[in-house]
Amino acid sequence: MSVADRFERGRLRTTLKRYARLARREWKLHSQLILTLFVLLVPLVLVLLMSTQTKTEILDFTYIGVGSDGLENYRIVLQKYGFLNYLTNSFVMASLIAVGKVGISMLAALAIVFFDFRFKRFLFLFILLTLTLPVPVRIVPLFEIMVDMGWNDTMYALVLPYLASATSVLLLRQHFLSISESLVETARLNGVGPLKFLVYVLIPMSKSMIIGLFVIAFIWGWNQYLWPLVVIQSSSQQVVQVGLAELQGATGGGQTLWGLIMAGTVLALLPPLIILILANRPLLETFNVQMK
Amino acid sequence: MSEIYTEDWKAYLLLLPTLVVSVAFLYYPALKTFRLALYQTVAAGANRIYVGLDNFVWLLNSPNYHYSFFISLVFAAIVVIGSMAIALYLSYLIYRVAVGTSGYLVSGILSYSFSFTIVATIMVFLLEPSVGILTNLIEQALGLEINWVTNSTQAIIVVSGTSILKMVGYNVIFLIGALSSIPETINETAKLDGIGHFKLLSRVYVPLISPTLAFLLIMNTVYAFFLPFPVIDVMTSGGPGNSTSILIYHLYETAFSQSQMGLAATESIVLFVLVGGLIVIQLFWSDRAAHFGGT
Amino acid sequence: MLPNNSNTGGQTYSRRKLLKAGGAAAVVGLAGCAGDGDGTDGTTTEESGTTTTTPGTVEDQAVTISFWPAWGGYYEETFTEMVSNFEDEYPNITVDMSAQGSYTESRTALFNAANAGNPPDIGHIDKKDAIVARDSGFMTAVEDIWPEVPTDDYVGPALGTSVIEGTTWSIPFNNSQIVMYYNEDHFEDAGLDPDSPPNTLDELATAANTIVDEGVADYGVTWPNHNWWVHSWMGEQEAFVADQENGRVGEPTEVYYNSETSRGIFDWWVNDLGDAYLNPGIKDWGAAEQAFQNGVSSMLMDSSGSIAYLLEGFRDSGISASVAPMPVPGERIGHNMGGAAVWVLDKDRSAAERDAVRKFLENMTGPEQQALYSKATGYFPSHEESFTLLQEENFYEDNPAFGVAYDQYEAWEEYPMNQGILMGPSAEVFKELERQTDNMLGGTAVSDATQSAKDFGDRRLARYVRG
Repeated sequence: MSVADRFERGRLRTTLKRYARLARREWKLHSQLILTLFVLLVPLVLVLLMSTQTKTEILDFTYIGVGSDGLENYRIVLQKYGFLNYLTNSFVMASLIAVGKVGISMLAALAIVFFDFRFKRFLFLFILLTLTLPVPVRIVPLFEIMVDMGWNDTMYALVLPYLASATSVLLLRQHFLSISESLVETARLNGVGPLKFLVYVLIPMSKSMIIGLFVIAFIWGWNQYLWPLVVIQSSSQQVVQVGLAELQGATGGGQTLWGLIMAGTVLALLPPLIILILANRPLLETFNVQMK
Repeated sequence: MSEIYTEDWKAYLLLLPTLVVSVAFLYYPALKTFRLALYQTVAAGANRIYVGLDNFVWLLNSPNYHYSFFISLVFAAIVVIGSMAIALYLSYLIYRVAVGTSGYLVSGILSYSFSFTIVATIMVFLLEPSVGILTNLIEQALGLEINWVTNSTQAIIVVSGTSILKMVGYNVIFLIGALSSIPETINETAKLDGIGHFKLLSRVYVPLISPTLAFLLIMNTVYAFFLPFPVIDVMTSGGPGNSTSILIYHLYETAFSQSQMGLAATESIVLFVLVGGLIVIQLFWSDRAAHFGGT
Repeated sequence: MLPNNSNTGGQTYSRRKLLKAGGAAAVVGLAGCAGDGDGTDGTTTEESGTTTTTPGTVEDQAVTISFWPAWGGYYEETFTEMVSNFEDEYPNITVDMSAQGSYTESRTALFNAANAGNPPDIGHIDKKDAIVARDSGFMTAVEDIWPEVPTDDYVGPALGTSVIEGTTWSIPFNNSQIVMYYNEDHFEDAGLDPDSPPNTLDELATAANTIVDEGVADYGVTWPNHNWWVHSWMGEQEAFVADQENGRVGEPTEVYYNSETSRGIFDWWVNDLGDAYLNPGIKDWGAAEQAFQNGVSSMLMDSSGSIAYLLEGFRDSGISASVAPMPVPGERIGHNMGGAAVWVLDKDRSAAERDAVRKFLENMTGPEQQALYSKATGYFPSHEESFTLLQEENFYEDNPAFGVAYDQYEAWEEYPMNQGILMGPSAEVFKELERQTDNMLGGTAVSDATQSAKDFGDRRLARYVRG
């Protein structure tokens, strides 16, 4: 072992020791944090455990451990109850919404920030005011429109109404405005067209925010319940949130199959959870969180 | 001056997708709602009869609807106060802790990725009167019988609690953002002065982050009116009786269980006035509206 | 705690499944039909309702029709078998079947599809929605597409909601009555005689309370909080639920939920039965069934349409259960039939398609198919002859549970009060009754709650608009 190695390992140990000392000093904070987070997240842990249990193990509610059914419930839910299909539909829906939303909002923000044109104020306000119209307020006629167009029960109905996002436009606008003056001037002087400007300047400079917006839009799309419930009738087109609610009618000989339902729950919550964990930095930055 | 481009038509083209979607799927349906509210429908809109303001009169005189309005306000209040208080507490802890901050932070915002449906499904199971783990724990600990399917008060508590669990993550994200933009100098001064945590939080931090708090207050309230729909649908179906039938659930039943589209449109207008009103207040309160269009 | 709004039949494996590839509604237009018949190929052109086909080329055309039954899971398997039998009999006809979920979801899906101009051929609608179906304008009366429909061959008690003001609009498809299941072991433990289950409401209250007092089970009896029970108990006392003889002789304008009879029922429910009753939730069949299966409640009242799958469940959970007729307030005259009917949706059809629909109706509601359906589920067959077939094979002797239900059905006497309730806003009015029931069980005074239910019903009836 070289001197360098020994030095590195020593450094690591001292760093750890320092952290441990620091943690001990702020033990009150840690204990409160752990307690609060435990209370908030213990349902998640319980669900993971219960999803591996058999029918009888679940009935014994004092048994909180890994069950003996293992992944059997998952297999059944994916194959027999159509969850593979639901998950695919949700994935397609959420992805299309995310790509679409971020895409068209970028174009809109580009126009709002870097263009001078007639009716600019009006159009911006026009977009802004869509914030007052969340889905539940327009759900009844929106449903009728879908039926009239023959789009009810299709992916069109699931994706199209969610493509416009005033929030994304606002956030992107804020971000674009903060791009350095000199860069913008340079672009103007060099006669760089708006689309080139977008692709070669704006996007590279907004990577974090774009990822953040994508994550927000994906999670939002994945988690929708009321609209898919209303507009989708065939289970081949249905998404996982509604599929999960329907799964709760699953019975075997008059008994609710909770193990299955929990397996379905885990499947439904994993994708957005994983995406959130992996992309938590960009997400937080999009919301202006600066880590210490 | 960032406005480096001047061709109008290019700008319109760039705005076109957003505008088309906004008009087709937001504004147009909204206008239709206003018109639809003046009609009564049979069987999902097949036959329509003009009834003028009859639908509004019906709602004004409907004890069920009055109750729905009332319980929505109560529900929103509980959820907003509950989720913001817990989130503020959690955010403060995360902000102050030095070791493992990012780990705690990620854990704190996890509920942002859950859907209301998922949280509701989990709680339905954990609080299930005969096989629920939490049911057992609570009954042992408090000696209380869990029967939120038949007891209105318990039902409201269960539904609010579940919604709060989910909303905390969203609030933590914003609160951490606000707290982290507080200048370090304030923290140092506070440490030197030896102010206790609670005083620090209430006297110093809260006023400093009040714009964010105001924003969250409004957004939480707006969300509380319709986002928890799955919680009601999955857990109580508006019951027992109609004790958890908040406005959005009542609307859903009117439209899709009873196929009374005209009456449902009327209920949408009520929701619109409530929600839209709150958002407009938020928009003008904040800086955004002041800077629209300009640089 | 199952959070669903199923109307009858309880919870099943999966609520909806698209059985054959492709949306059922879209397929009909693609049927390989030769267009409208004219005089040359032996059929008469259809102008309005009535057409008769003479045997000939129409029968050889390959035709597809679509059928949207409610439910899925357990019942879907039976439907599949029946449809398969039908297709075997008529090889040129293909049936696209798509199960739609609860009666509410099924009706909504049907109306939406009709609104969009793409309805299926045959729909499956709850008996209580008969008036809304008729008034929707989406339906063709069965007698218009099948002039020779043998209405009198169908079970009398079920026809009250299919024949409206003399017109045969629909054909009863699944028919049920309320039956009671009871846990024999619990009865013995509580000192009750398992061979003589309670026959009257008073006996039921006594038995239920005994069970709880003896500590044998948490609850004596449970059933879903569903309007069917209240309406049945009112009918058994020869009391009407609405004016115009329950809406059968004219459009009703008021409901009688605040009548002495009604209040008496709730008084019994809240005070005599009291805490021995487990309230599983509005229309929550699954929770009630689960409570019985888990031994939480010693008695269960359920639809006779669930007999088959409940018996299966009892075998699995090892419960020793028997079936008894529904306990009645006083004398037994028979109560309203539950279940649904098949309706024909209004659309342009070729002669071949009309013929196929007729054949479908005749076959699926015919004696053999209905006997099959009855044996597989517990629902009463729609065709009178099915009973004969079942008796010939000693079905009721070999299957005592089904036999009890059958005996109760046989004892049904025709009265104006037990032939079904016909009103437009039935869905909301009945739901309000269930909500008020919840309130009463939660402590609201019976007189106040029943008055609220009546007020709501009256206002809603006044507002109902026929299309």
